Amino acid sequence: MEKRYYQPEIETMPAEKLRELQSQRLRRQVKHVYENVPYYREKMREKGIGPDDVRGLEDLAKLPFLSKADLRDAYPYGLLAKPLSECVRIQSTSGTTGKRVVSGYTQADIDAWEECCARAIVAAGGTKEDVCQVCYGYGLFTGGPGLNGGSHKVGCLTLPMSSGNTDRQLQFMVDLGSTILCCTPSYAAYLAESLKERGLTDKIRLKAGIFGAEAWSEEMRRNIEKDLGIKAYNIYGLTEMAGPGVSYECEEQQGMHICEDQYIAEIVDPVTLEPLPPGSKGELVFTSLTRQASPLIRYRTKDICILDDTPCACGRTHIRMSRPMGRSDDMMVIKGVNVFPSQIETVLLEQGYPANYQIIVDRADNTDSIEIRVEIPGESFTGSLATVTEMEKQLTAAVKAMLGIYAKIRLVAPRSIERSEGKAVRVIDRRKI
Amino acid sequence: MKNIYQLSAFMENRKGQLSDILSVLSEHGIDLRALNVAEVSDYGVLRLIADDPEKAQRALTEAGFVIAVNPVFAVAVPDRPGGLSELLQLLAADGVDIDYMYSVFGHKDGTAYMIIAAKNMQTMQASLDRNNIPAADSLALGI
Repeated sequence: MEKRYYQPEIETMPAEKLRELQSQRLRRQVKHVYENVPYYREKMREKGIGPDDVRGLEDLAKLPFLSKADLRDAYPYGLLAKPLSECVRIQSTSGTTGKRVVSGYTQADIDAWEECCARAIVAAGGTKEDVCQVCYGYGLFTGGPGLNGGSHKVGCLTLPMSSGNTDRQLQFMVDLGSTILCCTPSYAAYLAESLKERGLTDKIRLKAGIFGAEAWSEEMRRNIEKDLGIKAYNIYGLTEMAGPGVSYECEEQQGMHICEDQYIAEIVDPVTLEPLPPGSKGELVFTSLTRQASPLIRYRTKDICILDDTPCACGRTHIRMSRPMGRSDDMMVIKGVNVFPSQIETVLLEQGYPANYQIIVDRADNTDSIEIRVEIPGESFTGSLATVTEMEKQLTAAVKAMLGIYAKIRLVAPRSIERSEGKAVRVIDRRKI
Repeated sequence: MKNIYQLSAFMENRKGQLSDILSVLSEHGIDLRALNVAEVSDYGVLRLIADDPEKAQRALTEAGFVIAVNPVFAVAVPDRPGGLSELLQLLAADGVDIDYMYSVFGHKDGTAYMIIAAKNMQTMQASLDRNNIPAADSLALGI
């Protein structure tokens, strides 16, 4: 297959040259924030450094971290590095966990962001011959506007559907011959199911899907690919770094290439904040290199993942990140091992259990113990005690394979784990009580 | 096959679980003919023969319990020393692989009943027929 890139000179830039470009852009960006954002100036002074102390990538670790709390404190314009007259757009996070975070864009910021999305679309096989159906939400949420802009840049015929109204989505998909679908993976699965129900599956022309904005498993990918007859590509992004397109998958589907001309990615230990080498699991930290209005230096994403700097068969030289494996906020250290509830949830779903569970962590005689209470799926109960014991054994082995430590599995009756209002209480850590 | 239906309920090993299940049956006026509990450390399986298995299954499922329904035999056993032993020898000679068994409450006219589940239910039926061993339907269990 012919290799295709949106910006070949950037996407396949030799690693050494890419590092050089990052160093040069980092110097410029640090100077920009130091001069234009009092908040940064103060933070850097606290660390006893000035812009001249950052000569390149090797000095990155000297710079202070930023967290979501900093962004909330600075709401709405506290971190803006350009006068409002230079800004053309605001996008915002959903604000479900607190005050909203807003991100400002100059026209150059919008162009750079849309180019990243265009790279993702081309990596998924998109050309100007394609019909790109964007059913991410449009508005303050970055999903719709980002992919919409990327689709324009590639020259696809763009269908700005936004989210919802499934009947209209399906009608346009069939009538207008959509070839690329951009939405959340759960909505893609829902669309596939709806197509099947209406007997329309063989009337669609989709070849690729670009799915992101929520966690999804490899198994879910294979199901969507099978049901829609497409290749499904993962895309990642966050409003704080512009939006989707911070990283995206190529045809190899082995991790998402981070647009390293735009962002520096680091993995740090979520507890000590020490930078970790590629291949280590830790918290993803981004520095935006070109953003003018809302540049962020060493922003802690709270996403836990692994970076892979080995060469990719697609020819892109930009480093790849794994899908996020959890949030550093949720991380527990049990018997010295980092454990995320999301890992346990993944195993449960793979093994056919409902995602309703409770993790109880305790310590006796200086030894940590972890117990996972799982509701037994009614349909798998055959009446035989041996079957239940076998289910317990299999689940114990699968959890051990994922976590690397033994966890006691306790099967409980359906609906016996209490549902709390809103977010479920997944973890009870008795060690803290 | 002249089998009857047994209900199995998944039970967590916690105080009051068994009485929770039985009180649902009692509220629905269901009478029990036989009952058995098999357990490992954290959970168990309650097996029971009810006078109205369908009604019992519906009531327990609606109350949120996990229920499975399986065929078993209610085999007549002469109520005298060696009665059960002789029966089991006959079944073993015919290659019946017994999973578990438990007794039915009470006896009548010198006959007791055992609930028997075998891995090979067809083989067991054939063995019962060949040896002229009576198996009861649920009505006959109204001892």
